[in-house]
Amino acid sequence: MAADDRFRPGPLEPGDDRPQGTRSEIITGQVSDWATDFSHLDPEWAADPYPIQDDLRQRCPIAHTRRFGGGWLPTRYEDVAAIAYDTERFSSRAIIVSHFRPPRELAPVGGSPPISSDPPFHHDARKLLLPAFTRSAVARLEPATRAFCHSLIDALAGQDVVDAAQDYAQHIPIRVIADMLGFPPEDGPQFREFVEDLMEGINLPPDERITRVTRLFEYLLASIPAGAQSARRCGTWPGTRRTVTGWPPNPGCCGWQWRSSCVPMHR
Amino acid sequence: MKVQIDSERCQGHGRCYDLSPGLFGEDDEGYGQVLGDGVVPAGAEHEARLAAANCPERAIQVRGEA
Repeated sequence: MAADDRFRPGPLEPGDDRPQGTRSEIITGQVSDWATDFSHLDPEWAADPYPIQDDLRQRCPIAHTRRFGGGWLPTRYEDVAAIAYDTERFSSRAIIVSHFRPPRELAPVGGSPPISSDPPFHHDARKLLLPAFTRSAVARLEPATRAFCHSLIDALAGQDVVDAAQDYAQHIPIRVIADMLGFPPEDGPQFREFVEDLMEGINLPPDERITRVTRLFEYLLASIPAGAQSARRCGTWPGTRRTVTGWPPNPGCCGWQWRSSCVPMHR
Repeated sequence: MKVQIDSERCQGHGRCYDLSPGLFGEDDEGYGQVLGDGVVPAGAEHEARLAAANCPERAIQVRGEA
């Protein structure tokens, strides 16, 4: 299988008979009761979820909602831990609470590995990523990250009021991730849109949701062949000038991950 | 007192070597590893328990608790 073929953008080819997931009815509007109708998209939750969680722990420790195709919200440490460690009975494949439910057969990979993965795949997926996040690898990112943070602060000079999240913090992870992946810094604003599309576009009509999410995948799929080729050639990610141990990963494994993460997006 | 990491369970979250650098380090792949023979020196018992309590995979065992 050629590398370029694996990362080809666009929907899965016709005749792909992998099981499809289910789409649920979009229920919007203000939450009526957090115990029976919770929504992580409600502005009250976004503003301050902790009083809501405290209240639920007192009167309904495992809340339920009919939104998002039906879901449960455990709020006590003991329950969260019991569920998280019981990987025989609980799967992470539908961990992203949205209007699309991946099919059972998508486990153990899930739609967005590794957060949607179950054992044993979860271990392998993390193993692939870990070398980029060792203490020494992260320490190498520190000087450039500090310099970027200083430049953000310098740009705030002269403003009376500053929104620390909007004007400062939100730029940092996007820039660092783009740097790690070897994407040009000027693509930063585009990444901010990608993140908004992914995280905040859950209640959009399916067609618009797919169009928006597809923009990120098209960008990534178009960038991967060049990155992979360059990494194979010189043993580094483009733009980083350093060796990434374990890259390129096992081609079969990586290809399967990418194709499977496209499944919910393109259907 | 002695600490041990179950390498089957460890997923490389790095909490142990971050919180208790006197007892744990990381290997080349980013997984946690016990420094030396794992014997906890006198006075470092709290560090050992801190690492064990913070491991999201429950991969750290503290043996010989007094």
